[in-house]
Amino acid sequence: MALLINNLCINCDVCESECPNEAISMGPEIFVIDPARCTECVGHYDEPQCIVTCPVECIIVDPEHVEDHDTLLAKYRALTGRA
Amino acid sequence: MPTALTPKAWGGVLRDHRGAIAVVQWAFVLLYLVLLIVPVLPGLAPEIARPVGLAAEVLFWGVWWPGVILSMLLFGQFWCGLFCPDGTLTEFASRHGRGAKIPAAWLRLPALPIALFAATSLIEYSLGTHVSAHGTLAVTGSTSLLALACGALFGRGKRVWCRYACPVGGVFSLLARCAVLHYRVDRAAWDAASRPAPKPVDCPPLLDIRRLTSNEKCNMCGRCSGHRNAVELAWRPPGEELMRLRDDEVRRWEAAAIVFVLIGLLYGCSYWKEHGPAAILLAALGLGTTTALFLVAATGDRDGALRLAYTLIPLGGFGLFLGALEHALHLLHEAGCSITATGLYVLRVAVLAVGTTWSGWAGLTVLAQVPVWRRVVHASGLSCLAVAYTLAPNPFPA
Repeated sequence: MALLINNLCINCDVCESECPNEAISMGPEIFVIDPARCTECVGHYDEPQCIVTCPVECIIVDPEHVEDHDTLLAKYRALTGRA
Repeated sequence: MPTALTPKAWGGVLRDHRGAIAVVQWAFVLLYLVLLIVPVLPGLAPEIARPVGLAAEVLFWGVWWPGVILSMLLFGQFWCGLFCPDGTLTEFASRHGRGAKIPAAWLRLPALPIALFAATSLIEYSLGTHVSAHGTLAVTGSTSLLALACGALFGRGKRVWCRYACPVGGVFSLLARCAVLHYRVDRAAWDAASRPAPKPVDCPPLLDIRRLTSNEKCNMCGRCSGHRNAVELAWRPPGEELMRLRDDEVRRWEAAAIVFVLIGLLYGCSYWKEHGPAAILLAALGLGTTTALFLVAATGDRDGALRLAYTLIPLGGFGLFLGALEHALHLLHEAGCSITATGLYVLRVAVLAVGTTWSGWAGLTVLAQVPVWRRVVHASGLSCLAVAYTLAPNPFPA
């Protein structure tokens, strides 16, 4: 599953620099997550860093992009070139 | 130090002198705790407890309360960001606390602060807690403990209490919409700045600075000054925000709070407290309902009335200031320095003239497109409100 930033986002800049996959960028109104690059930090950390650092509860699982752990790990490998 | 006294330069000073500001903040915490606790210390000699108690009442309710109301109306919530002991305590607790995220539902109820303020005011004025050291400790001290607890639970070095729950912050946030100072955000500069930002924007009450267009909840602390070269403290015309609200900034609960709490309830609390909570509520409902009806009559529809309600903030704010000022005069009266009845009415007329003119100007700007007769209704309604304040019961016995 990729993650999604909802409209509770306060544009605080915290999450963007924490994302190891550079999946987060500034959208027209709030920050957005590129589902093609979001691995929920699988391969990098035990838990999604954007959720850990976000001061408000605005990052949730994206219901439109449901992926299991193996898929996320494969995405991580494709993005980083690591085995 | 700034080379010129521009708001932008002062915003930079506030941002760059966090250490000096922290010293002032903790000095206020110390003074606050002394004034709150010393008068009620058991076993303290009356010759010490009494003057400290009197000093506390004079400073809390005679100096701080009217002064802070006026400063909110004119300049915004600088008190909250720079001096407020509760703000300092909650932020300190939040730096060392659990750091939990802000619950999405119950703590984010937008009307929570103003509802808590209404309840606290009713209790305070009905029981007269603000004229006794124990009462002040019970009400004000409880609020401080809640601020501390909120900080200990939520946020990481932020002011979750100030943003979502502080009762008096609910009213300050309304008054600050009138202020001539605000943090102006250049959205284009923000979006064009290099990314990711070298450091996240530091906003203790967790405001969305990128999309900031209002003084609502802004503690004016200056920490966002210069962020991405897009944020600066700046002048604006008085009441500009009230006249240019976007549709999504006009909220039903907030309009009701202006009419029934800022105007109705606080009028009742200031002038009908001697007759008990029922009289306060009756005055609040009577004045609030009459005000709501005149807003509908002046606009012809509900949405217009909601929007027009915001232009009453200056009059409601100056009415609140007047009530606080009269309490200060009451303290002087008890010290043997009385104001005459004529002097009182001159004072009322002078203060209300400012509020009425400000609200009238803002209201007429909003009503620019309506027929003349509706604008006459508006002017008449405002005048009646000002008369209600002017002819309120005289708090000083002859």
